[in-house]
Amino acid sequence: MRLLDRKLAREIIAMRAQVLTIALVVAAGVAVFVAAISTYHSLRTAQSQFYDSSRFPDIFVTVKRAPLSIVPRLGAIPGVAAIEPRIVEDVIVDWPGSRLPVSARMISLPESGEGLPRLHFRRGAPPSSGATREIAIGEAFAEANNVPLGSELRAILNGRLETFRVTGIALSPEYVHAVRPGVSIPDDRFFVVAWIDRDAAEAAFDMEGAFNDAVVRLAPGADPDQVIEALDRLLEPYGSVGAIARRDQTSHRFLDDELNQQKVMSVTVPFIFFGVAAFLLNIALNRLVMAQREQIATLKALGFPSLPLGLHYLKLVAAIVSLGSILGVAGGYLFGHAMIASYHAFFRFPTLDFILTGWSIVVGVAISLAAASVGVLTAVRSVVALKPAVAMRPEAPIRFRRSIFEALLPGRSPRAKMIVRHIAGRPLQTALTTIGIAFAVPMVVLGLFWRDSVDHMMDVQFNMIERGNALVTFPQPVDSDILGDLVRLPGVMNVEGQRFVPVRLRAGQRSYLTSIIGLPRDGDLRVPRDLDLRPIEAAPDGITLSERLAERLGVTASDEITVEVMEGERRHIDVPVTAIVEEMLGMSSYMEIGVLNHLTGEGDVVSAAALYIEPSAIGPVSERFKSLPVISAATMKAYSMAMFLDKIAGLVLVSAAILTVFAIIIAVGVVYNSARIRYQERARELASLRVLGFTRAEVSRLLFTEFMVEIVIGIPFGLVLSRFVVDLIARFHSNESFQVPAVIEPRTYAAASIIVLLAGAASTYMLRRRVYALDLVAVLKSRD
Amino acid sequence: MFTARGLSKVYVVGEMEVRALHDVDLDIYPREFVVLLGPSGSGKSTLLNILGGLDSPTTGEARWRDHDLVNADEAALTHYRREHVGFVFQFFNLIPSLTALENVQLVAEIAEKPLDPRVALDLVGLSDRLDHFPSQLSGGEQQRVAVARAIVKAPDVLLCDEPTGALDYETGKLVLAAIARANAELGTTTVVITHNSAIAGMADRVLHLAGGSIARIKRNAHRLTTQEVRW
Repeated sequence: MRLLDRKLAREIIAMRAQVLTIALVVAAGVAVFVAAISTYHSLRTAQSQFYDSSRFPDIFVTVKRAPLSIVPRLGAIPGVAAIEPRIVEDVIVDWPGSRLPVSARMISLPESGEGLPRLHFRRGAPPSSGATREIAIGEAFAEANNVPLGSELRAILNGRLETFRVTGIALSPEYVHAVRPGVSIPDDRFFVVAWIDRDAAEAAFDMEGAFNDAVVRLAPGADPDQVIEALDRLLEPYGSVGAIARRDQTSHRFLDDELNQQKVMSVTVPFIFFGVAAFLLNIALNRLVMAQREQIATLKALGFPSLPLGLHYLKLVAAIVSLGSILGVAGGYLFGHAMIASYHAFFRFPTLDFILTGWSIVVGVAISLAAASVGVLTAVRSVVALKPAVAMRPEAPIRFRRSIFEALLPGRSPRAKMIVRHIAGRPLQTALTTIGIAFAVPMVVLGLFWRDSVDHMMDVQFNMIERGNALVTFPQPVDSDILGDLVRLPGVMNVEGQRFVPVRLRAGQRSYLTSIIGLPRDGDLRVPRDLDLRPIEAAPDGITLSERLAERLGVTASDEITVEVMEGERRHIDVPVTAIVEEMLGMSSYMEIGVLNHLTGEGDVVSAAALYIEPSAIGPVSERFKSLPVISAATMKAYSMAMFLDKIAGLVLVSAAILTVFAIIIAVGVVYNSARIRYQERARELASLRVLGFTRAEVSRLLFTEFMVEIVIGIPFGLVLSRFVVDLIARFHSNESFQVPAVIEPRTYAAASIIVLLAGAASTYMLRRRVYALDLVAVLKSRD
Repeated sequence: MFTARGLSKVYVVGEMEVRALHDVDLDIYPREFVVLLGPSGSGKSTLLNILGGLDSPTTGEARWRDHDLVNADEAALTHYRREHVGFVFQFFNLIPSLTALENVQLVAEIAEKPLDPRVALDLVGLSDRLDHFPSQLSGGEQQRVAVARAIVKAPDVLLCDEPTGALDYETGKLVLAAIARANAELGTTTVVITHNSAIAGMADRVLHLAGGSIARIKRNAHRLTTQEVRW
């Protein structure tokens, strides 16, 4: 077999362009698979390590004020392993360089210093026990604002300006993704999580011997629902807004949604890529072996048994797949690294390292190997099954016929007829090439459509639904007179009050803790929209739910749900669902603000105000917000959108760019290989034409028009296919905190078509060389 | 007319040098029918390839009228073949996806003053097979289509490489008749390569090649008709 191996080595060198393009298709499939699986595992590992080492709690509850004396009773609830009462307050920070008010979430640390969850200190240490002027802050804010250890941070606590010294920069599993409550766009520059000593918190917030927040770790096997029920019962008199399990904790939910999305992506996208790559691999190798039909037959006639012949060609597969796998694993490693790097901006873990998942390599390579082997073996088997005498003759020539498509030709040129008959006369080959090209299109679309999707999401959420350009929130509900004060600020064109009321929505067995957003009738600044994006008026007697929330509760429009208000008089009321609305972010519910205020019995109050500020006045107005003590936080769309888009862009564009590159590789792989084989089949004919006086350009045109026709037929199928693939991917990738709109803009269709066309052009360019170097002398002597 | 002086061709195959032609001088005159005879490796194909603008000699010069066939670039040679040369191959080399008529039309399309393709097919006696694809034609019929394809552009030169090599006796004679007719009626200078010395009788002149040189030239006082040729 040594000689056969030498033959193989020479053939690989001779067919290097084909071998390389096929290997690159393998590499693209393996890379996406390995990168996606490994990215998912890296994130999961980072998450579980952090959760374990920090003892991330299982249940979270917020109350108005409860005495510490009740803590032993809470700890005695069956299933509770540990409970930590805390003081958590949102305050305003006076941060000199900031353009907007900075809000801080202050969390007390127990005297022992070993809080629940345990913080991870990047630098420095927690505030010393009893030290009332020390503070530790979250890394996201520290990085966004370049806050060194030892800096001073001034916060307004209970109306008094207090100065703290930063002793530590820390991470908490509760704020892996730090979002200020009630804000849809996270912005690390204007939100800081801060930890102070319990004594300091007690003194600052008048909470001696009391707590307003608690976290619970469950004993192994405990049922969280039962513990939540018990906690709610015991804490209701103290103004509990309802305990929540981990899955509803903001940071965890966002992280988990993202991880699940990544998990889905690690299956769906590579599956599609891999499916296409395997399909192409199968076809390309099948054709490659069929082109060696005479050789195989000759070897068999010379006495080689079928088995070693099969093995011989499997070695070719092994060589191509090995090359592809090496490139693929290397590509996957780089792709995964880039993905993980772009996640650093989103998630704060003590360590987030890219870990190459071993089994993904094994599985990826195995799938490629299997697909390639099947392609090769079916080809070898079909040749070996023939009698050597038959097989050594070339394949019976195709019996061409006139094609009905010729009627479509503008002229009667024989050259045009040749093209049409070659396409129509070999339907199987044409179909395979066309399908291959059609598959390449959604690959490119899959890389590019994210941009459309994010743009659409931004447009719907931030132009159509949230129409103001600023949102200010108040530390507690304030009289709606404040709106009049705000609208008098120079540059403020429009102000509308909003009311956020914590509620539990209940529908049968299902319930969901959330805040209802109260909106004025005929409001302009927050306009809920139905699924067709038409504005919906807040019905005075009902509730409007986002589609995701309605799904979670299992209700549709006109069903009735129970609203349990979690503050004030804690009323329960049954209301009809009057509309289901489209929301891109989060799970919102809306009611008319007057009705909502009536429910809570608090009179005409607002929790926040949406504003439309004249764009040129945004700067001065933001400055003004900083000096208004009634405002606890402000979000400026102009500031935050750019930040958010930057982050999203990092994540989306990295994967989009890489998927696009892989898609191009696949497109080139399909087109080049089918072009190459087509060339091989036609070389004699083309050389004859050259001898007869056709120029190189004329002969190239004849050959390449054929591909171009196949490409042009393949592309529309590909575009239709893209629609399905994107719908599927969008559905898989949507989750409760983030809905991926299945939007493909014409520019993306156009770009995908152009990229595939260019891949075709590049392939033909690579082949042009061969057409130019056709051996005209050999053709005179060679028999078909 | 063709003029060749001191034509030599050396192929380098691996480390070996193969002399295909050695110092050949040759003139071929307008309307002449020349047969190149010789065993395999005698250099007749190399000579035909150089005359057809498909290959260039290692040394020497070759001209057709005012066309320098040695120093011309690829484009000029293509132009030469397109305008002046008709080829007939041993294995026909028809385009399988085109009918007989379309195969001829294909070449007529690129010629400056072509014959009517139907007339060309009529000359080779295939008026009744116009719409047949090559796969529906016998070998002899295919070769006659190839002859029609070669003469449709009314070439000045018709180069035929073993035109009967793949055919049986009867069909071979039909093809030869077609070639002879083109030579006689269109005045095409015709060069035919063959192993078959019986064909030599049809020629004005017979060039015997051996070992890369013209060993002997025989002029036929009387040209045989196709009917008279036997082998």
